[in-house]
Amino acid sequence: MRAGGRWWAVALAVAVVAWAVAVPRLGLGQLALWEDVAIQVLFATSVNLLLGYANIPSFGQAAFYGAGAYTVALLAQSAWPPLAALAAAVAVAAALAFVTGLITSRVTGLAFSMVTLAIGQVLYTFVLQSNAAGGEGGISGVAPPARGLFDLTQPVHLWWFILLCVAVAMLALWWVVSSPFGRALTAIREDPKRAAFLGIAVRRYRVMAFTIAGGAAGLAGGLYAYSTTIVAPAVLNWTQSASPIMMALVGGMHTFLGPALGAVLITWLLYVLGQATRAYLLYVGVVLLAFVLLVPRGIVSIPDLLRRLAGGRRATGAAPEVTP
Amino acid sequence: MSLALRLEGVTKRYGAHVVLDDVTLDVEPGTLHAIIGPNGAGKSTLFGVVSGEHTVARGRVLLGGRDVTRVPAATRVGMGVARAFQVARVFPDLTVADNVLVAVLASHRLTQVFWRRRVPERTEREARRALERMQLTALADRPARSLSQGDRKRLEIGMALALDARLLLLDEPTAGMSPEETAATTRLIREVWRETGVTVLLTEHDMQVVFDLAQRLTVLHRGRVLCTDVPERVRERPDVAEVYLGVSAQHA
Amino acid sequence: MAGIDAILVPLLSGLSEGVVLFLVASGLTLVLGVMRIANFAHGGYFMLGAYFAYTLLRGQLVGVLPFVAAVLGAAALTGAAGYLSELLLFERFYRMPRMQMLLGTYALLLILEGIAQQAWGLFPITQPEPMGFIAGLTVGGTQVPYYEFFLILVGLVAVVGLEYLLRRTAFGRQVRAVAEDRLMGSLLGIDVGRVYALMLALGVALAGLGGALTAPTVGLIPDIAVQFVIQAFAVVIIGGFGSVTGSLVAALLVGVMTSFLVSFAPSVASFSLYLLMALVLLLRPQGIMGRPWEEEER
Repeated sequence: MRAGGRWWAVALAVAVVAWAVAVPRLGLGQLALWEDVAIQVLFATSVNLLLGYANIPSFGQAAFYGAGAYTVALLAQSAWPPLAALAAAVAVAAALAFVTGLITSRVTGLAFSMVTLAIGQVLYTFVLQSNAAGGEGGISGVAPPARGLFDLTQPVHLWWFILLCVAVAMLALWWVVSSPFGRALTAIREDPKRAAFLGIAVRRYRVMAFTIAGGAAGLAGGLYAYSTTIVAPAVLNWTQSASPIMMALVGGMHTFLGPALGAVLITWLLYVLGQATRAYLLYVGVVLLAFVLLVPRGIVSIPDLLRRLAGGRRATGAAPEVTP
Repeated sequence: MSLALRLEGVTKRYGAHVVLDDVTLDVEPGTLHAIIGPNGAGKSTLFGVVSGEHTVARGRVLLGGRDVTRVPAATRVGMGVARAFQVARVFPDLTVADNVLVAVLASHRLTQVFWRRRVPERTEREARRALERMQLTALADRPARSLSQGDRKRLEIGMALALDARLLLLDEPTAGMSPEETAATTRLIREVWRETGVTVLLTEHDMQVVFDLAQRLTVLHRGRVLCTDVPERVRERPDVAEVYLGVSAQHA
Repeated sequence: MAGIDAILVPLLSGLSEGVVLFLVASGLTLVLGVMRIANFAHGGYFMLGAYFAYTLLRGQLVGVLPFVAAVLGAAALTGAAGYLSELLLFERFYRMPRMQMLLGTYALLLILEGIAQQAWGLFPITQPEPMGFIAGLTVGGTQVPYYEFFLILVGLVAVVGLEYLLRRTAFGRQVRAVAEDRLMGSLLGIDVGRVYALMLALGVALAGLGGALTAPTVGLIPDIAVQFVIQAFAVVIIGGFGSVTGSLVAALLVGVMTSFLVSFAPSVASFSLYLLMALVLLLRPQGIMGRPWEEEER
């Protein structure tokens, strides 16, 4: 982190906690919205580990998000305690990601995007007609068993539980990107051939990153199951893979917190639009297209962009990188 | 810390075109060995074969006596083969310091560590020393893409050395450099070689650099080895003058 | 003789479904092979084609000739929409890094679907099959709708037409030159921008044609844009990126396979397409007819 980075981190933490205290007073609707925001923050950040840090263009992360959601939904039926169910969700999603990563490690680039996309669809169509997973209707009434001091059937308790899980997972992801492994990933992103001739086994690192990101997506999916209490096949559909990518781009790839910012904005925007009309896709598309064309480095690059537009002195190079 | 290299009857083809034709070559451990030859002689391909980038149609590649013909590139790096490319390849968006650090981490097989944030102090120290040795400390916090071509080459050599190289492959280390940079780089290579005792195999167009540095020379012509000898004697050979020195007279 | 219809009926139905898949996938694979762009919006144009056909016929029950005219009109309109969006948007997409480019075409998909939501609403609407095609030919006791024969015929015409266009015309030669090497193409004096715009219009018109032909067989909702594009992508992967012949083989294979599975093993029918794709990826990553896909990583 740069100088002053620590103060920013403290200020951010204070703001998040203040907001977390305030939200339950705004009613159940707002609580559900902000739970979703927190979950999408984690999902988008996990996807950005692949896109921004490792340049692994996966278009199939919904598979792991959905796998996590279904794991929790199924285990909740046998009254598993939440932490155990979430751990299982992470394990299932990570294992699935590991296998997918191995299968797809022979292809790169655009082909990789298409292949991961299609593999996600295998799972989607499979679940769509699987009786065990509830078919088209999915599984409803997902709830943690009501017991213990920290009774998660209480909406406020669940809110804090979700926030805590997301915070821990975000710290873990920050840990990963700033670890030696994270540096190796960015090195591979910059020049895979050079990395290979430093003795870095590029394919293995890609599979590892894919597994970690898949596990984190699985956790996000598991939390989603508790938050909405219903898991339908739509969580596995490919548009669910596109959504965190959209958030990452809107917020700013190549930075750690950019995708989180994008997740907040997009989730909130979808909520507001959803309140106003059922035919909201047009507006989402226009916003996304505007970012793709005008602000491809995302919200985090806007200050820099404005400075450049103001025309004053020479712009300070690229968007601020939080690459550790 | 040095590694012997031996090529035995190595043949490499691209389609019908034979790039390396029955090349046999011995590089003694700890020597500074140069490969020269006109453009298209097969020098870069030879480097690719030694580093494991290219497979060969026939023949064997031996490192320190071990047959590595079918051993992948990453494993050869682990055996001490480090490579610098003709056009320097560094990680453009990482800082100079991080470029070197990644190399040091890779050499200690620490790049898989994702559960710990801190880089071990020993590794940090080693990276700082590598920066100092390459006189890059002043540039440590600059992104690598902002460096001049000469500084980039220096950085790349520094990264190669940070791998605990036992065989250093330098593909035209002074290409694209100013005369001052060339002189500095030549000095640097000689120093590094003296200090570490690494085996150095280099290709070079600049004959001044070659005769300044190399203990032994191999002349490659159309994929075949014309001769391998000490520089003085290579210089006197009429066939070499004909195929190579004649051609490059305009360069000198 | 009880066996013949058990084979023939699913075969014909599978072939006719394969034809629609082929139309959509061939447009996608052409654009992918020539412009190196994975166009998610392709599904949006498929959807537009279906709605255009519906609007041209005002959802009425009509005869065969008006229907064919409406289908062709819908394809032409879709192609025009594609040409326009090429000039406005795609031209910028080509130069973008991969993810940005994918999201650009995804944004366009959302916009097209959004437009359909505004124009035609969220609820299913139906376009009846043309009058002459409602009946069918009896094959060993089972009736095969004439519409299926019509689709197979359309497929034949499309294959021959594309083959002629790409192999025998000056435009086809230009397309192949540009696909091989963009720079070389422009050095040879080919107007690359024009070739790109026409290619996108052609590819998208094929999607529109597929959509228009699908209109009578499904309940039309904007969401078919999202559903169908992925099936088309799977066919493209199976056939090999950029290969029209590969798409043809893959589409017919998938159509027939799915059709038989619906009769004999319904539980695997709907995702057999993706299973086949996974199998192809494992055994032959470049697809049935594709060349190994070389791409400089960026």
